[in-house]
Amino acid sequence: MPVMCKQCGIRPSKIHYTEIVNNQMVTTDLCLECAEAKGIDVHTTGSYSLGDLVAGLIDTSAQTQSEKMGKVQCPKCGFDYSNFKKSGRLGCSECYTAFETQLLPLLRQLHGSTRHQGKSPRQLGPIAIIRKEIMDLKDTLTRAIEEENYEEAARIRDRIKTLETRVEET
Amino acid sequence: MQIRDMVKKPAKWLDAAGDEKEIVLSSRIRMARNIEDRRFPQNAEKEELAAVLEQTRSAADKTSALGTCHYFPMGNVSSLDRQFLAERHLVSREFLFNSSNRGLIVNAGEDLCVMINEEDHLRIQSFGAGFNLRQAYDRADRVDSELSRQLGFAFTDRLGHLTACPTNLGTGLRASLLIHLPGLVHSKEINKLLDSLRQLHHSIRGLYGEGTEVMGNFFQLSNNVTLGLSEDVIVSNLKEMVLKVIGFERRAREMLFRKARSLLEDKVWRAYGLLCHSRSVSTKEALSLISAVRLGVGMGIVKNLSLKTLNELLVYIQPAHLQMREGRSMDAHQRDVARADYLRHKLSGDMHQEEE
Repeated sequence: MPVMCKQCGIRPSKIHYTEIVNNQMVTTDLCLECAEAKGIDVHTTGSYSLGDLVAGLIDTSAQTQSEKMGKVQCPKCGFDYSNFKKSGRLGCSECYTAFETQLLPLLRQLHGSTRHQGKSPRQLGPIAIIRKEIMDLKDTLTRAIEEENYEEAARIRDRIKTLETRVEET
Repeated sequence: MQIRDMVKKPAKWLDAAGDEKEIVLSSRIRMARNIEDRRFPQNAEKEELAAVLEQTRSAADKTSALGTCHYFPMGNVSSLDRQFLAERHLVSREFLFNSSNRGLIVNAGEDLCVMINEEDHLRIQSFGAGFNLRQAYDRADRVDSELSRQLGFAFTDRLGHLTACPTNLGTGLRASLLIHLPGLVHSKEINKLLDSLRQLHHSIRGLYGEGTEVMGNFFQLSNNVTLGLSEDVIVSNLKEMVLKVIGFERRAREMLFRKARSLLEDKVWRAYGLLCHSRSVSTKEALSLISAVRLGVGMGIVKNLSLKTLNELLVYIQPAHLQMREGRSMDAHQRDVARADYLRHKLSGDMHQEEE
């Protein structure tokens, strides 16, 4: 049994349409005719990338005055916020600072968070350093075995074991 | 090494050596990184893109993980070669349409690569056979650490790694698994499952990632959230989720076997017959036949055929692979014939090897 168009109720639905109305995601099933009547571009629908979906999520109700005039620009790269609304992609890393007010609500919606919890390139934490040493030692171990240097291999194996216990304990 | 030489042997991660190999084909990790003080690729002029390309390449040369890798500047690569690389999952579909000032660094085993100037300056990717996210993560993590010392990535303490699209912000990490779920598709439970996965902030896509069709009951499952969770948590959440999916798939397969054994066996063997005897077959049909036979192998219905062979078929039946093997360009009809020939030879060869 095909899903019928929610608009006309006569033709089977061909499009599962999602739009953002007052910050709420609303989905509906439409036939091609009704979708076109609603002004939805039915020819470009089909495959979306995540970025395209983001462009659809960007809140248009919370526009500031300057934004309405189209003046929110990144001082570093000159990227205009209105372009982000179209493409879902930013111009440079500074854009995150320039458009912070607009972006934070979006980040909350996308990730449920606005604070990074992962790896930092500035400082490798003690665990990360040990993990890295383990990986490097494993490579050395493989080489030692290939060279039939078993004494060295046994020494490396023990060192790996010690480090692995330390990682588990922390 | 030239791109056309790569066709001679399949990527390492297709060898069906990993865990849960009947259901999980491969594990993949992707990290999005950008170089400080440079505009994101879509917003950059060609001089800046060229500089990023050069900078990344020379940094990669100095690392232990990428130092011995091959580098392909995409501008010099033919469109057939680019399609071939996309079929091997080494470059994204975006590389097919616009290749200037883009590059690929890839190792000999094809389980580690860096795309340069895709949506972000760097996309570090690592692949593993079967269900082995941790191993794939560790490999990518090492490359990331080494490169970050050389390049200086765009990063803030608050938002983490800054990416062109906010969907990748923070860890820049997308972990994904290529899984085969014929049981859940046949039992019609798949849509329920897809809905719940979406609610749990994971997404499921077709064989070739973003925006691609689901074919042959192969799905790609990945995390959506990249900010606010550590890499460890992202990977283990996905792992937990997929363990459950594997459990559901096993149950659905058992149910099929109990309730409709003869129908199931018929479907599997008919598919096998078609693969072994067809004279012309499309990619889509071949994928659905391979899917049925793969289910048969996983359930012990088909015995003397390896999952490794079936994994390789998935890649080698594709248009650019067929043309590279034959060393000539072919239209759709010629490819269908070449595909059927390839399948026949490959399957009869594998059967003999297994019997010996």
